[in-house]
Amino acid sequence: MTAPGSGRADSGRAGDVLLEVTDLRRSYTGVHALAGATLAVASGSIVGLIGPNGAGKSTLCAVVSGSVPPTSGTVRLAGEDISGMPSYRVARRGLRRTFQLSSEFGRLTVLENLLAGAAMWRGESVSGALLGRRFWGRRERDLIGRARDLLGRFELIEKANDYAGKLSGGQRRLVEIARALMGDPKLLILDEPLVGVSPWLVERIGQHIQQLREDGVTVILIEHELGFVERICDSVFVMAQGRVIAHGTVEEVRKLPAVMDAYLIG
Amino acid sequence: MSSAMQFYVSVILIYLGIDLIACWGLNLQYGVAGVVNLAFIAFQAVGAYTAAILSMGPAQPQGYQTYFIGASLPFPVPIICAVLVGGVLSGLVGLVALRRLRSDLQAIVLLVFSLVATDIATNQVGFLNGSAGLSQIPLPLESLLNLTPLDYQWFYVGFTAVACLLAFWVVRRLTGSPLGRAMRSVRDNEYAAAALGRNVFAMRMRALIVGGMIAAFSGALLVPIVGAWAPSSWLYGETLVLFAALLLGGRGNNLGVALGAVLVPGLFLEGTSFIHYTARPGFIDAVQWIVIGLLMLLVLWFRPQGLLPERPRRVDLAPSLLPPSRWPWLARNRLAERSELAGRPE
Repeated sequence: MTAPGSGRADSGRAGDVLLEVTDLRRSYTGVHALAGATLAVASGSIVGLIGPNGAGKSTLCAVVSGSVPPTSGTVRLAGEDISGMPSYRVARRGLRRTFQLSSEFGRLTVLENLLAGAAMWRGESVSGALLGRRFWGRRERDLIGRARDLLGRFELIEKANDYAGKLSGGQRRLVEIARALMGDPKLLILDEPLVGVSPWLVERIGQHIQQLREDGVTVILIEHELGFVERICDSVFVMAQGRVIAHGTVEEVRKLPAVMDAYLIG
Repeated sequence: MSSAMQFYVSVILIYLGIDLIACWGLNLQYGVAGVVNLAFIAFQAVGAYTAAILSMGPAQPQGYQTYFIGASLPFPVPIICAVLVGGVLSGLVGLVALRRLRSDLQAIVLLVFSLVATDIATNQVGFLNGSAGLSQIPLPLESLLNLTPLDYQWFYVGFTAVACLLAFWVVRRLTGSPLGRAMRSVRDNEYAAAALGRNVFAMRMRALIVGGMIAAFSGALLVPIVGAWAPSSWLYGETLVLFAALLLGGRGNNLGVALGAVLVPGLFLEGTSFIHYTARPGFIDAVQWIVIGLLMLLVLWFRPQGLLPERPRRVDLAPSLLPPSRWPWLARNRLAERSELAGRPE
C-alpha cells in the first residue's frame, strides 16, 4: 500500500492544503466503514474520490462534513480542527456538500431552494422576521439577484418559480449544486452528482464543475464514472475497504496493482 | 335575533376565533417547521391555567378549590404572563423532545408529555385543583366595563377578533420571512438544511416556542369565557381535532388553516355541541370523534394537500425589479440555450 496524501496534493497547482484528513476511522457496530483514511486536498483543485462500492467514499464524505461523527482521527479545514463538529457548523465554515440521493427542498420553489442555501443571516431570527420586510428586504433582494445569476448560469431561470420537487432528476442535481454555491463555499463535496442524469446534462455538469475552479472553489468529486473523473479532475484518491490506497492522476492509479485488486476483488 | 340566539352566535364566534389562533400556532409548528407537536393542547392548557390562577386571586383556606400562586392581576397581565409561561415551558419541553431524536420519535415524546401533564394536573390536587379543575374564573374587564352579560359577550367577540388579527400578523410575518423559508427547508429535508448551515434543532425550537406562546395565548383567551378549566378540557385527543383542521384546510397555508379551523373545530365541533339531542347523553360527542377520525383518513387518501394547499411563493425575476447584480461574474455563462434545456426531457 502506498502512503497517500503525505502533504500536498501533487496536482501541480500551488495551493495550501485546504482539507486534511488524518487516520479517520468510523465503525458501525463492528463494521469499519472507515479504517484509517488519510488524504489532503490542495486549495483550488478538483480532486476525484473513487473506489468500488462499499469502499467508504460516502462515509468519508459524511464524516468530513459533520453528518456523522468519527470514531477517531482528525479532519482539518483550512487548518482548523473540525472533527466531530455538527454539520451546520462545518457548513458555516465553508464546506458544503451535495447528497447521493437528491435532496432538494421539494415544497420550496427552485429560487427558494437557492435562497435557503445562503449563509444564515438576520432575516432568519424571530425578531428579524417580526420586524418585517423593511428590516430584511434589502439583503433578500441582493440574495435574489445572486440566485438569479446562478440560475442563469445553470440554465434554470425558467424553473425559478416551480416547486423543486417537480423537476427532473438532472435538474434537481443542478439545483443542489447551485444551492450549495449560494453560501460561497471554500470546499464543495459532490457525492455522485451524475446519478440519474442524462448524457447531455452530464457534459454540462462537467463544465459547471470546471468553472468552479475559476471561482476559487475547491471540489471533491465522488463518482463512479471514471471517464468523467478523468476529464474533470486534477487528481484522484482511490479508496478501498475504508482506506485511501492510492493518489495520482487516473492514468497513474489505473496501473497500480493495489487499485486493480481493489476493483477486481472489492 | 333573540338574545338566546345572540348568545349562541357570540359564543360560536369566540370559540371560532380561539380555534383560529390555535390552528395558526400549530401550523407554524407542524405545517411550516414540520414539528409534529402532539402536545399542542397541553400548551393551550398551560396558558389557560396561568391566566386563571393569575386572575382568580388567592385560594380561600376553606374554599372548595385549591391552587398554587393565586393572584388577581389586572388585565392584560394574566394573558401576557400566560404567553410567557407557554414560551418558557415549550422551550423546556423542546430541550428534551427535539434534541437528538428523529421527528417521528419527537412526536411520541411530545404525546407522552401531554399525557404526563394531564396526569400531574389531575393527581396533584393542591396544584391546580385536580380533576375538578378551576372554576369561577373572572371575565377580564367585566367590573370596569359594567355591561350586561349579552353586551359583554359581544365585547368579547370584538376582543377575540383583535386577538386573531394580532396572531395572524405574527404568523404571517414569520411564515413570509426568510425565517419561514428556513423552517420550511428544515421540514422538507433536515439533513440538507443542516448541510447548508442551518441548526435544525434551533430552527425547530423557534417554531415550538413561538407556536407554544400562541397556544398559550389562545388558552388565556378561552379560559374566562368558559369560566372553568379542568384536565378533561384538554385531553390529548383535542390536539387531533386541530391536526384534522390543518389537514383538511391545507397545512403550510395560513388561509387554508383558517378554513380548516372554521370547518372542523369551529362549525363542526363547537357548532354541534349546542344541538339539543334527546337520545342517549354523550351520543353526539362519541359520533364526533368517529367523524373526526374518518375525516382525517378521507383527507389523507383523497386530498392530502388539503382544500387550500400551500402555494409556491413566486418571485418576479424580471431584471427591472432587482438591483443590478453585484456578482456579474456569475452571470457570464448564462447561455442562449436556456430554451433548449427547457425543451429537453430528461
